[in-house]
Amino acid sequence: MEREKKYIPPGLAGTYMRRIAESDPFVREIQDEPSALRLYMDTCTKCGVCAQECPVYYGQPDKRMHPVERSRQVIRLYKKYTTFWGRFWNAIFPKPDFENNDAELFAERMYECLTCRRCAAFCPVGIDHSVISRVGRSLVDLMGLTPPSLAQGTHNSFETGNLEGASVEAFLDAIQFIEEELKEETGRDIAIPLDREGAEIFFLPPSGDVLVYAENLMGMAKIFHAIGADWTMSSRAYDGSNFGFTTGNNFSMKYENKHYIDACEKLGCKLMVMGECGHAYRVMKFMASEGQWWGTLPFEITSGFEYTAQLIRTGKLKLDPGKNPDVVTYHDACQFAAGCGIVEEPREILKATCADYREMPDGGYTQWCCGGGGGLSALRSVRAFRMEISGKKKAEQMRETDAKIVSTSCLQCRTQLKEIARHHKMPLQITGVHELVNNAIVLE
Amino acid sequence: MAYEIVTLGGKEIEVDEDGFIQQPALWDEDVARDLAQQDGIEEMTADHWQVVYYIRNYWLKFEIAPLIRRLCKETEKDIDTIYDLFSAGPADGACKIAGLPTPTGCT
Repeated sequence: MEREKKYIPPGLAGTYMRRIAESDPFVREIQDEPSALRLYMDTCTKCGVCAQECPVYYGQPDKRMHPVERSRQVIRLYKKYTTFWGRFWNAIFPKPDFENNDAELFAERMYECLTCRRCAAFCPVGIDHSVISRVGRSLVDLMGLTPPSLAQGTHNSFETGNLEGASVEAFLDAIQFIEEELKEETGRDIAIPLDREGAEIFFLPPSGDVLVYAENLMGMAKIFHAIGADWTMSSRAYDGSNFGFTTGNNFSMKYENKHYIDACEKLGCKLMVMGECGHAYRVMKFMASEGQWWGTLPFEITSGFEYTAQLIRTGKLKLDPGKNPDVVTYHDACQFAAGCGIVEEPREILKATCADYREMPDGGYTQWCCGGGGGLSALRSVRAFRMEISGKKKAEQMRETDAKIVSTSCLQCRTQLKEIARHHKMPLQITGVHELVNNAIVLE
Repeated sequence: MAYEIVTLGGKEIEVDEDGFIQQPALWDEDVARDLAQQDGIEEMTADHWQVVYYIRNYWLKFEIAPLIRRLCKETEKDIDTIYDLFSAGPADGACKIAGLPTPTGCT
């Protein structure tokens, strides 16, 4: 990938700018980020409003978990390397890059931010600490200190096109099993078409919804069957997720995204419907598509929630809420709610599919993160942190609702919520949204 | 990645930071029993072995763990029973004891 060339003026100013730009990979990482990042780092007044709203600080109110303290670790690098006065003072009184010169502690602290963007909703000047943490993580990645399971995930994505590292045979076996299950449940032949050229819709679930859980894909297949849609999946690019976004590595983020854009273009589909993964959807819709990473895309992009909600609004789906009689609540996944503004659609779907839907306290754009955001729920090494500190607020909220089923729109949230429920001994069932559609849909 | 070498079932085996063994070929029932002990499973019953062997055989064929729905169906156990058997759950518990390498991905 070619680095963008920036205009550098001639003369003394140009010499200074070139020195900044070429001095250090750290500096380049910071300079390559959107200008909003520098605006955030320059304007943060350290007032601390964000701390009251941060799920991590709520779990452990001390200096280490304070969002501003965490961001300060990155801001000091930014000041030291890229601002005039920072460079000037550092030339006279050199300071270490990290507090106590401890890079591993820095890495650990960057993975204590859930990147849920709740701080951004409450900050008086709108600073999004997740952007700063993400750059911190990109520096961690540069040093090779990214937690192994996340690094392995991005590696698998490059090698096999999915996070699990599954072969095509394993995928085909899973699809065959899901088709058999659909036949058993409905008595109909509901096919999951693969690699069909010229199909109208390209469906892209996260790989966990094909290789680990079957129910969301079954729900989607039934929806497509019910409306007689012309759809397909790709047998090679079926993983709509993005770990590069989580690890802060822009190269991984862009190429994990390119993989399925290519597949969709090659099949000539007109509409890409993305499954229940907020990271991939946010990168796809708001970065790759609007930022024109790969030029103007020849297809439309929509999320499964918008797609299904639209079908419900226009009365194309027949749903029987009696099939989901238990009390259901919805946990907003950060990337969908705070990242993409998809708040109403999942609620519309749940209200149409469940007999008794109740709101989670503080639900919506300013929801509390499950505590496993930003890739943390994929890290076994921080399990204690997730259960007792970052997940504390969510555990309290889940206990407050009388729900039997907590539905959510992200696989990472599902893993985390399941673990919280087990850890805090709550008899809850955690499901996806289309999983409940799968139960309620009536095929004619 | 740094691996630790531990003795499991009388053999020296590399494990990663989460306790998953890195040399699946060295797996046998003694290794499984020792891994189970670490998870607080005192005795491996026939039900435990059924789940472990189903996962193991599926993995030998496809190099991936089976769908949870398939695991439940083929071993005729619901998900709660699997959690009762393996308190750490199907991935961190059963797959670890079955000697699979660390599962990656969101779940």
